[in-house]
Amino acid sequence: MLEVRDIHVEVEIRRRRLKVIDGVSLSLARGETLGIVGESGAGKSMLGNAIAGMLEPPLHIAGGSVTLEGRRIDDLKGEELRAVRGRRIGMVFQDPLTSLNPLFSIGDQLVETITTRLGIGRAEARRRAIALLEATGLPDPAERLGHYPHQFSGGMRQRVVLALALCLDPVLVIADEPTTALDVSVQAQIIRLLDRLCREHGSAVILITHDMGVIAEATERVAVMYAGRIVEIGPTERVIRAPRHPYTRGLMASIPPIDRRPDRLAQIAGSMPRIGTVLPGCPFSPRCPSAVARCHEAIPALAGGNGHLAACWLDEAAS
Amino acid sequence: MTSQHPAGQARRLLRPVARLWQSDLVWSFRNTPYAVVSLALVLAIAVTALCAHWVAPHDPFDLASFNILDSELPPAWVEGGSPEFILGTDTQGRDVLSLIIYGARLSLLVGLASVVFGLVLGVGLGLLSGYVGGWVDALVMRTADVKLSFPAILVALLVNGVARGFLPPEMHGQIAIPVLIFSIGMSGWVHYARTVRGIVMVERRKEYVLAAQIVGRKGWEVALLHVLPNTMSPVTVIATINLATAILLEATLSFLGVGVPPTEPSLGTLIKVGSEYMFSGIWWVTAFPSLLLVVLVLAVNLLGDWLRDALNPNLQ
Amino acid sequence: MSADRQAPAERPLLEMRDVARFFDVSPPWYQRLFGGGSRRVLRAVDGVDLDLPRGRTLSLVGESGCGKSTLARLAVGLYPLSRGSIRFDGMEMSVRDGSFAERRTRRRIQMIFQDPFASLNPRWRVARIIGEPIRVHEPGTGEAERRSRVRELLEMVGLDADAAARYPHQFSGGQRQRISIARALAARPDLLICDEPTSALDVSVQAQILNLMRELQEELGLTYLFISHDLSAVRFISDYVGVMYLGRLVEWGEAETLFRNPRHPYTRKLLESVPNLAEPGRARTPIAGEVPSPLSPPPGCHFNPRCPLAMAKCRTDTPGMVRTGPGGVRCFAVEEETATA
Repeated sequence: MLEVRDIHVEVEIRRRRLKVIDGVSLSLARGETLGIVGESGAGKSMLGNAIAGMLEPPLHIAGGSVTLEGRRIDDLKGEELRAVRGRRIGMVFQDPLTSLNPLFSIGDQLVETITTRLGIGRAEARRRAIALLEATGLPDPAERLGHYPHQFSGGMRQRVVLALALCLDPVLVIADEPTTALDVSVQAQIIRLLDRLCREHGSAVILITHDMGVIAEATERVAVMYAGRIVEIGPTERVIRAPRHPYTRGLMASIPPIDRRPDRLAQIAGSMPRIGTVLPGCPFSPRCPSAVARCHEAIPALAGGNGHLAACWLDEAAS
Repeated sequence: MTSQHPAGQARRLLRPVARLWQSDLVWSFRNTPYAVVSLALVLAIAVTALCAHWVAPHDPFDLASFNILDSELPPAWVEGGSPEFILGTDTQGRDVLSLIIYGARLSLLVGLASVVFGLVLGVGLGLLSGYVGGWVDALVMRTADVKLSFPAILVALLVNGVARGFLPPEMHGQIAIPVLIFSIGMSGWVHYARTVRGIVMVERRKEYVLAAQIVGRKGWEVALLHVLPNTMSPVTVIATINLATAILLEATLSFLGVGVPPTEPSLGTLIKVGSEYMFSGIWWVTAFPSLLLVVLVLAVNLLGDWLRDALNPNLQ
Repeated sequence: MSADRQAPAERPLLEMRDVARFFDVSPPWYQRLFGGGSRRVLRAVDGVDLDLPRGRTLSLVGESGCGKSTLARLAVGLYPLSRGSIRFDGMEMSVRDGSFAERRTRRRIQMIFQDPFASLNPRWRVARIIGEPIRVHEPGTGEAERRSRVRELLEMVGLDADAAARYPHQFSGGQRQRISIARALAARPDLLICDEPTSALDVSVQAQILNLMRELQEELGLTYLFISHDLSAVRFISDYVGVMYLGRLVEWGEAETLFRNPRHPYTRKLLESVPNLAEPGRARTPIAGEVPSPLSPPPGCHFNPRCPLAMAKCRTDTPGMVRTGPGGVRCFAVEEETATA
């Protein structure tokens, strides 16, 4: 349904062109939930924005294609882009306030979106809006329709954003760190809700987060990003239980366990290269504990069977 | 080892210069043509004005040097003009070009001095107000509000009037310029105070300020060492734009006759004196100082605009 | 559990008794006069008792608005207390007289912050940042000696000596947090207050900082008060844990016991809401509802509207702290359970 092929995103800062995303390909089936996990600077949010056509200059797509339901959407502009983005793709961001207009009541925003995009009457749209809000678990939806975004708590606001993202039955929902700003207890509520709503509406989900816990809980497949590339992709359970890329292994090992207290955590030395660092070899090679000469010379491609791929020279599938 | 090497030493000394040249600010400057042109113009005017004594072809203060026969000569390229007086002469036979150079010097000095005065006053009050808060803040900010409800010219006229009223007439000439600086500075401090107060209120809650308190710094040390330096970028921008305003205000006040005494050439007095003869066809005495004033103010303003953009982290 | 852990051989380094801090968040008086509105008081911290043994780590956990950061700032003396007392090494710290003795004691409590981008003065070089506490507390130190101390400190936190000449913006988040730690250590502290020191960091960097903190504790005998909402980080770093909810401490105890056998319903729910990586795909059981506004907490036990065990009493009365081993729980349900057992 969604096909991203060899996409490159660049940014032009001052006199330099820097690669933010360096050849990412992935595909998503109808109704599937894909997680994108990575640390800050990995380019995961940029990937989400590139797919949704939401890159702001000086960021731009420098190569590759995005196809949604058989139609190329990466080169759309203006009204066409807005139509696809509004109708087919729903967005949820970390800060719910970026998705809501503070000057209009949430009812106005929902009804407005539904009437303009679906071309149905206001009364009907209002009924749909109430039903949607009710489905998100917002108490007294009919009454709260007249409330403004600032009158809601963080968790409630994120529920409204979910309703807004799903009100047009999009085929794809891109959720970028939807729970990062929320309290732990509310996080679990929102993740469950996202999962349930997307199932009900038949929408596929791209869930972008830095939190392996959220990935483990809510996704079927996961792509691990590092320095603008996917280094490992596969079924979530297998990636978590048996990671194949040394970065994924390091990442998993560095999460402190909740059920015991080790003396020391495994740690990955150093930090993610700055955006724009160009290496001839694998981008993880400078930090990789098991890197060999070849790792510093050439970039490995994603390889492997059973839908579990890793980009590592030391992985059996590559050699 | 390499430190003994003269070439290595030179390279080390040049490194800060190279770093400055590579810095974002300088890069932005080099790639903004209007900023380069503006700075060049401002520098050219400033250097010429400061070196008036050596650069100006005539000395307008040397009574012996002018000749009444040379009076009211048009610019050199107009019929009847003399190559000795490129921009013509005024009614007393003084060289307009030299008058402008000396006038620009006085205008720039008054402008700069009043900017410094307003800056020190405004930054000090803003820092105090934002850092101490409470009734101090309320007092300073309400005073600023009251000040803002008077036009700058009115303040200047008021200060001027009061100063003249209290001092004997023979001192008017001597105090005219300090009074001018004081009144222009008084009209500008509110901008600094408000901006600095706003930044200070944000910065003082930042963790590095808390860290300095926990480390054991006293309140005023934290304010001066940590908070103050972080207000300097916007203050620089305001000061630049304020310089343009101050030069204009000086000209306005001098034009109205409450600024620089008419005997001292400033851009304002030159325009005023010249304007009296404009309708008798002697346009050059007022036109050239006006032109310079426009160019100078425009250049300084453009420079301030560029600086504001270049220092704004949101636009980078 | 070793014997020395249970025996309170010496006096705790930090003792908090009935510590409270209220903030007046009323609109200004002229607005109250003309626009109505009444005085409002935010009870950020409301009566907390805690002991922090020397050389150990006590963590405070809780969701937004629970008062854990305010408590940290009270401990370090950034705010005056509204009620109660804080004793550090036997010395009363709630009176701020600015005396030499007080200054000398305050030096021994230092703090590291959450945001590595805001906690270092952007216009100062690292050498000056780390050297500042030395300059303030040991004014007799010469330039050369200070420089070598800075170098030592940098090495101690795992940074190169050439970091000293650079500015904060040239470092990554994790490296800045190391600089922050070095600055705190420069004051030769006994107690380090850590306010969410790893929350802004990526997991792989978090692991580096947590490891470093434990190494430093062992090496220098530091005591930590660690504030975090991340329970797995807390699990790794703590000897003792306190759970806060809307300004009150609802449960505290040894970390091992608390994680294995949480008593308060809120603690239980909080622990259940942590995603478990050992069982991918398992859905968490979220706590119903959200944290109410700390401006108008529910009467009685603040947790009662979300509590599965809430009784009539919980809605009117505030439970007291019931001692359980070295720790305590504030809950009527636990109280009854203990009484019947």
